[in-house]
Amino acid sequence: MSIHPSPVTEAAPALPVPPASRVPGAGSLAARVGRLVGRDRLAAASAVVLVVIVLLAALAPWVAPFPGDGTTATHPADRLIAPGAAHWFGTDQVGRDVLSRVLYGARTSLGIAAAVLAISAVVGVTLGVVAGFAGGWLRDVIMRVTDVFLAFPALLLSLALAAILRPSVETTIIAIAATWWPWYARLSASVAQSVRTRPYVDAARCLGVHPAKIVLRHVLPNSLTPVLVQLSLDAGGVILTAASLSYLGLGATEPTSEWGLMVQSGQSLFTTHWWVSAFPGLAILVTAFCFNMLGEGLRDLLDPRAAGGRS
Amino acid sequence: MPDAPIIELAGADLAYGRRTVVHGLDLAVAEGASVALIGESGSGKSTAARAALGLLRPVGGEVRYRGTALDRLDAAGRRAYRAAVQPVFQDGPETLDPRQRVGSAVAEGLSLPRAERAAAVAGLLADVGLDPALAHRRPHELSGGQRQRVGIARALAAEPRLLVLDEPTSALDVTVQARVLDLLERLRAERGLAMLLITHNLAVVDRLCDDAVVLEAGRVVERGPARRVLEAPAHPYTARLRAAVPELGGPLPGTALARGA
Amino acid sequence: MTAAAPLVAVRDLVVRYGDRTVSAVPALDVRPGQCVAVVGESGSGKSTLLLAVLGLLNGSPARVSGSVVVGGTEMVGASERTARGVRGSAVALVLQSPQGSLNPTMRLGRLVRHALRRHGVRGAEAQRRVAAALEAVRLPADIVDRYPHEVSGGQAQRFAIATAVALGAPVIAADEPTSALDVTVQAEVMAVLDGLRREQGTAVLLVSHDLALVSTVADHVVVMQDGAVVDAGDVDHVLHRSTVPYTRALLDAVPRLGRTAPATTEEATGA
Repeated sequence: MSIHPSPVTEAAPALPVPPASRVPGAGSLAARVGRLVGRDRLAAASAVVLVVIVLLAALAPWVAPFPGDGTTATHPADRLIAPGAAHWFGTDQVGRDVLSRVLYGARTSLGIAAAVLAISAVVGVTLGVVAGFAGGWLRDVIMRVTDVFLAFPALLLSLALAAILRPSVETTIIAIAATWWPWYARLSASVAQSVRTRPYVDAARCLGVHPAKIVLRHVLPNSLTPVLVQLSLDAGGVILTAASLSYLGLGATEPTSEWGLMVQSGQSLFTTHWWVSAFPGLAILVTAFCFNMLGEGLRDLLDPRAAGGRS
Repeated sequence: MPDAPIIELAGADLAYGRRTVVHGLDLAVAEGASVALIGESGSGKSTAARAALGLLRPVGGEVRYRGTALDRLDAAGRRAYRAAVQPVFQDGPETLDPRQRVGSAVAEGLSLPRAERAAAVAGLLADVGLDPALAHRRPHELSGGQRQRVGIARALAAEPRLLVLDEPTSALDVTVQARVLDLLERLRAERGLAMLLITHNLAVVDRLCDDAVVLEAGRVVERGPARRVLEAPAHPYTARLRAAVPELGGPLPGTALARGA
Repeated sequence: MTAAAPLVAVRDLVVRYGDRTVSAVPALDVRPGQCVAVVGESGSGKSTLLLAVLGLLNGSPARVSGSVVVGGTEMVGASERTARGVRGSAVALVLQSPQGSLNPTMRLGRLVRHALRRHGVRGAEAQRRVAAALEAVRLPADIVDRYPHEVSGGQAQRFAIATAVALGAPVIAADEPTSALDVTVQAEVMAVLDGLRREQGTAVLLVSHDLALVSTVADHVVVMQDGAVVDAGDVDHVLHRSTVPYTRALLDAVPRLGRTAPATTEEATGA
């Protein structure tokens, strides 16, 4: 009934809503976090676990009982000791403390995830917002390029890259980022496109504000919420992918502590010396799971309208 | 051209993609005039407003600013047009940028050095009857009426000559509506502002507008002085609109259904 | 208005969120053939009252005390099962956003038959009721083959009313049923509701912010402000003889054709 589809009037809320949150996402951030913790204990617990993991990863050189084992040290005399008092997670086939390697592995995995997501987000969101806001042929070109990249499964591209480059952590980052950025482009393009039609953007256009300024001041900040949610959901996926690449021998190589690599190296011993693969495998599982739960919780927190049935 | 209307749609055909929603619209708003564009959903009234604001290009006919077609304006002309014609939208969750503070939203239309901006913003907020301290708040902390006033202040910052108002009070509580209408009347009187009011609310038309244009399915069916159009409509559609408006303490609004047809 | 037993009886209803009272209604009755309107602006508590009548507050963070008896069943503290039994049979709901409450993947005919089946009405009897209901709301019989997005807002609203009629609910509870509709369509929908009242004795509990609209159909008006009832009485009294300041302010603020004087002069802090 107006230039912009009119919302339900304030006069008739469909469901009773506690006064402070009459507008979705309203209330101070602290208040919203408080409500969320009450409602979504799993996400809150996941956040706590992740904080612990990140702290442990950051402090690994000081927290790990055998820091040298995390990198290059080997102790053939102590190989394959079962989990016990001296080595909580046991030792692997060259005598390295599995706990220390798992902790150092956290640094590797989180580092890869951070690098991949940073590259993907920067490249993807930039292209996506420009495409979504500009529309027309520019959008078509960018979206077609995005589609081409989306056609590559991460593993296939990494295989190709590993054939050209040496397998390493850096290769892993490039290979995964190359297949991940298109999702961010697509996501932010669609969000930017919807933001573009909002009244406050029209108002800015009518005020003669330069398009670039409109994008930076209005479109980008209002397009970020789904991107932030996606980043958290993706962190788990990136870690899994990196682990898979290393498992296939296409990513990190010895003696780097990397969870996927550790799983691969211990798998032939699994029936007799289960701890060599089990603990890194568990680390992958827990970390990926917590990132996923956190991502879902973040989505409810930052954009309750997208929560869809959870509240 | 000095005597040309501020905004004129001349034989404008407006379309979304391949769907033409407005056919051959002639509409002019002169300095100080107040014109209502009346219609229901699907009438094309909001589309016409977008065209007047330069947000939608006509596929036929022209939209002119002071006599010159919009796409023939030079850079200086475009700047003048952008300043002179400002929108006021219906209150909603996206009328103001939810992440922007009120003061910043109002300042968006100002081209002043930073030092003078705060004072100008405070002045504008006071002009629309708001406490200048609200400049630090975010939109969700304001009531609907306050948000509408901020939207008006944002438009006034550009020092416009014509306000294009799209359902400016329809989403507000009835007591709040009355006060916003008071504000608009006052601004019109004090600044000689012209208005193009898009609405389906006939009572608001009666209050604010001198002239009225009635749109049905993208075509003008009636135009004339607002009072005459409302009290003695010539076209059956206008008459039907008028009859459908409930009057306080009056009978059930007339419809074909009510008469059992 | 007869002295028949009320279909809906509200007594000492108080709805709270934390320590804030959102809606407090000391007494409200809806009798057969009556149209009771609850009028107020945002935050008045009128919609909350409706939710309490429908038992939709149970399970929410709201704390409800008092009594709301609908068709003989106490709704305050009732189980969801009990409430669901009452909804549709004793009272039917019509919401502001017609298409919002209709399943977009089902044809309208299927939607209404589902509703009927949930209340034990099937087969030929269901067919008969649907046909009669569509006629009562003046919708064409073939509308049952359409999907919700294929009909206009007004038609969807009338369809929602037809569902209520088919269910045989003696009370229709409507929350801003016409706010999202054009004024000509609004008139049609209100005519349908009024027709049902006169021809079938259906009672209507109408929640609205539009005092003018309400004044054309209601027998009894309740005015709410900030969660409390500030005025109540038959429509004539409220419109012409009320001395309650808020009621007078509401009446003054109603934009009326043929009047140009400003309603108020105060706008120091805005609103």
